[in-house]
Amino acid sequence: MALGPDFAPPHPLEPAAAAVCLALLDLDTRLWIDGGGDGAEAYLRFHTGAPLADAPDEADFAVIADGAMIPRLDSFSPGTDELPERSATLIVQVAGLESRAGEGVWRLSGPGIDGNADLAVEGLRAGMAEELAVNFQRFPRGVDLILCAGARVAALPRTTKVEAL
Amino acid sequence: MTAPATAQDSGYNFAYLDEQTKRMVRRAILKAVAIPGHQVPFGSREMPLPYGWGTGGIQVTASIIGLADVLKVIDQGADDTTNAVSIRRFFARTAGIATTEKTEDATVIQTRHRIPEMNLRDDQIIVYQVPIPEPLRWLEARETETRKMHGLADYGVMHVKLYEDIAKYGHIETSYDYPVLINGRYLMSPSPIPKFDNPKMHEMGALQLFGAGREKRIYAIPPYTRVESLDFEDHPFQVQTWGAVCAICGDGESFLDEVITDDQGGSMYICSDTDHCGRRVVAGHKGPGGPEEST
Repeated sequence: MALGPDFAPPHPLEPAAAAVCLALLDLDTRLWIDGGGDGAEAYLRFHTGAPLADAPDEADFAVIADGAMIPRLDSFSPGTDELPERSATLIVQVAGLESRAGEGVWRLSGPGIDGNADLAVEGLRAGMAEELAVNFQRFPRGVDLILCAGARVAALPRTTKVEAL
Repeated sequence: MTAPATAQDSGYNFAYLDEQTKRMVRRAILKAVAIPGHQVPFGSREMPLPYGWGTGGIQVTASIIGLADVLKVIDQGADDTTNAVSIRRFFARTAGIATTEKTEDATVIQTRHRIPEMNLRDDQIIVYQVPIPEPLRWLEARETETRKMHGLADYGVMHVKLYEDIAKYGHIETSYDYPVLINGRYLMSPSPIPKFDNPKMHEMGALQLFGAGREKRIYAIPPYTRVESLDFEDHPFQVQTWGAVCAICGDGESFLDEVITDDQGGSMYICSDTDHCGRRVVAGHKGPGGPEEST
């Protein structure tokens, strides 16, 4: 992703997560911020005008500043069978994202991926691969993840099958 | 014909729609991509052309297009028909972007009722204009019921419809807007493309976005996604054939339009995809010609 060199959101927000937020959030989206501290909250409130949700399950979008502290996925709204689009999108900052094979990486497959793709995700809370497998199972309900690290983005919609290698 | 990027008309926001509307449409598109084949409601805006002229497709295109994009617009396969020309001009004026008639040069292709003959790549996006997004609408008029049927993946009624066709006519009558099942879950209308184009949707490299302006729905098929046309084991899905070749380029594989040439029953067949036909002519292919030349 090409971001201008002057784009410097306040700590703890990194450029990719902040850019995704600015592209998607506005006064129509309820936002829940986890571990953002005052800096992220004030910045996003000022620049997007998004109202804050009191609880994770009331949010359209959630910003998780530190992927190691992400709440359980089932604490967010998965929508309903008839209205699965009324589900949360989680913007999750992680320590590292890299497309590479190797031990401990995730093998991703599903719509949008030609065959499969290997993704190394660093700094995400343990047990996420299992929770993503549960999220995959309850299709069409489910939450969608946008993982961000620095200026990198990887989107994992509910249809993506995750296998930890 | 390719037109380079020009200056955008003053007085319009980039690509006509205001930024908040574009964010709303983009959020709908993201959920549509995350739930392949599911129709996501969106706040369709009034556009400077009537419903039925591609307002849904235009709003989707307006929300995804950027300064570096090259836009191609086709109407029934042709680049040079009124609807295609006006929509291309609309974006050239309101976004100042480059436009093209060449399928391989386009990054965004907006279409009414055809898929280009050329295989699309995964750095391209195809946007379909959709009149009736609900494949079950002619079988069940109530939105509350069709929503429930999608929720439960209860699509028996569509199989009954196809079966009744076979019982009555000996084959499935539907020749366009032929229902498809996306990623094994959602029944979806492919928009009124001929069933000839259905196999191209399967595992297509390009992202496929569908916009219905009047019905206020957006849906999508991500790249490399399973798309099956409904059928029965003993009546497998088949596409139409013509037993004729294009009069201009001689192609017998592409989708052909029959053109009436006189009032004596004379007609000829030509490629529906004008870019495909033109490329073949440039490459030296020649058809049998029109009735004047062949007589």
